[in-house]
Amino acid sequence: MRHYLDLVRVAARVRRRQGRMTRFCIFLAAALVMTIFGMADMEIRSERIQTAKRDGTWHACLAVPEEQAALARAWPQVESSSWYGTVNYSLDRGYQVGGADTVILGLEPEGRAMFPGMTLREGSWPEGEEEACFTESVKSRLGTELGDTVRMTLPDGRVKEWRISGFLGNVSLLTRQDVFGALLDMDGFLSLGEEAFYSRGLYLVFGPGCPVERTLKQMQAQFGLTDKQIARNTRLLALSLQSADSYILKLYLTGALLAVLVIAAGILMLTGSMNSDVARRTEYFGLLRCLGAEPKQVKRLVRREALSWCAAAVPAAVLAGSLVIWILCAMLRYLAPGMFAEMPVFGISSLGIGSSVTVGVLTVLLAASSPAKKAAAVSPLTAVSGNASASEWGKKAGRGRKRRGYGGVELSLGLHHAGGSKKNLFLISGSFALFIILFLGFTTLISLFQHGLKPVQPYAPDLTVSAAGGGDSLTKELADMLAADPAVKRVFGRCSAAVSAVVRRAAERSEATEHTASSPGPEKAAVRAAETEAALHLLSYEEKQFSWARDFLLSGSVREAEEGEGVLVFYQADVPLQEGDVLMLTDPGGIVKEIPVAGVLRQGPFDQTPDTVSVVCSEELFGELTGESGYAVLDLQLKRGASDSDAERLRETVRAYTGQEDDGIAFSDQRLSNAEAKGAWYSFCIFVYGFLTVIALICVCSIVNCIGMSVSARMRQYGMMRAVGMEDAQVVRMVAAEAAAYGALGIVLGVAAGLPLHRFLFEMMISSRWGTPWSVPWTALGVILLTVICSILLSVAGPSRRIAQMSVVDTIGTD
Amino acid sequence: MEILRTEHLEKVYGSGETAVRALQDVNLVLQKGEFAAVVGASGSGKSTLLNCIGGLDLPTAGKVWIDGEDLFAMKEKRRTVFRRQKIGFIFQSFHLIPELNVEQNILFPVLLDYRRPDRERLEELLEVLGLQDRRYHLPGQLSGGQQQRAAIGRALIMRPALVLADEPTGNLDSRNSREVMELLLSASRHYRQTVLMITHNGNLAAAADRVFQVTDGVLRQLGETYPARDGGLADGSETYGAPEADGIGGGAQ
Repeated sequence: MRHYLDLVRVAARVRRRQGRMTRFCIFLAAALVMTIFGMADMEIRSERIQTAKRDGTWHACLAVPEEQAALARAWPQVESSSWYGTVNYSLDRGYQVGGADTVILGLEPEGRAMFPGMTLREGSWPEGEEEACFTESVKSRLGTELGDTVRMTLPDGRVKEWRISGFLGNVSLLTRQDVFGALLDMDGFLSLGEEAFYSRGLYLVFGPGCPVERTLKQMQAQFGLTDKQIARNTRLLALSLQSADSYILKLYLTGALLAVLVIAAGILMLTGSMNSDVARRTEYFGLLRCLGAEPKQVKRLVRREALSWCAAAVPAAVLAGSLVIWILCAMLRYLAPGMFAEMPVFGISSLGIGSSVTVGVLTVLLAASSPAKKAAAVSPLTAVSGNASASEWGKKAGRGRKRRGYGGVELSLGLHHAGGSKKNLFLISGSFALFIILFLGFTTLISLFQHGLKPVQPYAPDLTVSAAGGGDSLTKELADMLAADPAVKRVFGRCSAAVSAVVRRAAERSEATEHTASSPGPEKAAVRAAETEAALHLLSYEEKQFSWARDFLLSGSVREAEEGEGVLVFYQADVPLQEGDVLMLTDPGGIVKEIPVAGVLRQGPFDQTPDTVSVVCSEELFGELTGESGYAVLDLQLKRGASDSDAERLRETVRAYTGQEDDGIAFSDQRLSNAEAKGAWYSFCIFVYGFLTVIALICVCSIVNCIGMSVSARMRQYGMMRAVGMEDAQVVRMVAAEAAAYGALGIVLGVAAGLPLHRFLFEMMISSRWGTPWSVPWTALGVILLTVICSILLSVAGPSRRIAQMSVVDTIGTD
Repeated sequence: MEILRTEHLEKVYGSGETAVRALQDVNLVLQKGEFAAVVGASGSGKSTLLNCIGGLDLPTAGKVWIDGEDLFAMKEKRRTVFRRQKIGFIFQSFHLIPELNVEQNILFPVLLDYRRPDRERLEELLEVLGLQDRRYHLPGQLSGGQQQRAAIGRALIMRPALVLADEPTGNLDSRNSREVMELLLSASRHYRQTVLMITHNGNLAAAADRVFQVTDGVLRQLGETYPARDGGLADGSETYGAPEADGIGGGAQ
């Protein structure tokens, strides 16, 4: 021993058990942070690779003429640039190869690196106006080889011939839609004509560290560009923390808020533990002061001790966190290989390690600061007076008004002990409260995923048959045939038609009515002003879909729509159709029908088209309004264990019934992607629930620790109470009352702060997007209550054992 | 050479009707190498006097000079350092740091003072205290007498101007009490160490150069010298205050 601070090291060697619980709390907090930040790091890495493969590594695209493009390309922050154009992306322009719709891409050689997902499997990249690369599906379905010539039909009826220079790996978007893809050199692309010329844009990649948004603003100002002339790779920018998208910014804010809460929880819990530890050792610090230790030396001792706990706990936490990350990554890869194929298995997250070490050390130093001050303020008299056990808490508790209500003196004393030190009460109840706040905060993430992931919804189909050109080919009879197949669990179809309608808004109508009542003259003018034209996407639901719709109802009722007396609309922030609005639709006979909006749904089994309102009605009403009876889409849910051959048989059934080849009927198999999405969902649940469990565990450990130390600090007092006739059970009840008081206050504080946070996050992330109104999360509150009760019981169990084994004589005699 | 001087020292606990005057106009002077004992009944103010002299407690009025320095004219921080360097404490219940062994416990005040331990001084003390073969033992592995001897070592390691001993034999049996007293006396003789000791035991007090009695906060000197000073500890002496609280009394029973 060469320095007084070595006391910490020497003491730790002699008393290994001391501070064990606090060390465990530090370990849990640091491991938790390591896992969260590490997983976020891995997820971002994996997402970046996936986004780069799917959407490309470009940051922004400018729709500008040649001269401005040349200036943009010479911009100092621009690392690489390329013209890139697409025609027939929505498959409705009539570019076909071998009778199949073909998406055509044009790209300069510099741009190939921007699309790493586009891989050349065979041959070489196209050059000049004659060559093209095609997707491998062209090779397999048309039996072509390298060097063959392929004839492409253009919309104007011309036929253009391409020499195949190479084959590309199948791009997921194209294969899912059963179409061909062709990649051309920019010269070849421009030879397609005006449409190609105007479709192209200048794709830019900025150098590392470049503030993309600011640079784009400068370009916009210099070139006088409108917002529509600039497109962004939003996902990639978001993953690089460069996004200015308001929804993404909200997600960042949520992440930052939850991270701050985790750190705050760590600080509060550890401060509580350390404070109790200091209170237990008041006499010890008094002795050090007696021996001549200055207050700052005592402070240093407490801090050094806290750091020595870090030295053991933080590396262990980093190891444990890494292990958990590896396991989670492996699980994600195994459960959802399509979504998480790029997840590193044995990745080392420097972000995770950095944040874990920082949070571990910072938390401990911050948490130690208050106990260190408290220890330094201990009077040296404490050591010699023999009154250390009658600590500040006890004295203050003693001053309180004694209640003699139901439950006896021990309960009153327990409550007084809890209220004796306001600081301690705040720290321990604050730990409970922060746990509750965190729990409520993180449960919104689960709701977010539930809303965002369609494959986990009850209506998620395994197979979808859609009539590409519309028409009556998918009939009810076909649906019944498919439903009769032994592999099929359920079949449900939707008719679809684009219609236009006049919308009379509920609010405006009432205004108009009021107006009419007061002055009958201008009635017609007022009604006309309230009516607006709208493009509608009319859909039909059958019984099953209406029953699912009830779970997604935001307002109104489903019944009227099901009975054909109204329609349901989907929530869209920019097209606010609401319950009570009236749609005026013209049927094929020319008769205008007024149909009220019976309810608003938050989401359905298909993607919403911006600027178009999706309206759901019954099949009968759909028939009346459009005169059509065939389904546009048939969704099939298969029984568990359905195989590929079952799917193929169903495909054959459809083909045989409709008598059409593949190009008339699109058959989409979503089993794999559904399974992957479900896998991702389960992994996410494991992650979030695991995280919540660890938070709960930290909270429980911290409470157990605090109560245990509080009991240690009062052991002599309890001994005296036992000596004057208090029973074991009464002492235990006293401790339980103290713990329950902390818990009750914690619940009140936690719920008071946690519910508004839950509401804030819910409305920011979910209500604004899906329209789901916030409601009190009773299940989460139930779980919280249970956890708090369990931790109180656990925290009383240890001290109860000690009190039962306590020797009254020894306890009183101990100095 | 004057080591300790108190002037009109007063300590009052509480205020108004409930005020308790624990010390009243205490004037005391100790010269270098003097061994003084303070006797008195429980609650008479002995410990308060010791705490005020040691700078552990603040007097309500009066002054304390140790080694020529006014203890309460110093700021708290300076007083702490002064206490560390100039005053050695010996407590009834030893108050050793349980995680440190004998040697580390003795050296701890030196380390607090950011000084290199003087190994020769340590060896000498261990020899005088008879703890050489116990130097690596933890307090829990020692007898009461050995623990108190270690505490004496700790009090002496800094060569303090004044050693304050608060009932140093209060937790020891008669044999250990005698050994501890002999150690304190020998320290006083050997190192010309000034010692102020509180005790209930008249027999132990008899070994001191001077004996003071505290009654209701008033200090009174009982006699200049006792014969036992040169001839060691005498058996069969009177006890002051509450002998049952002390429980040893040399051969008093």
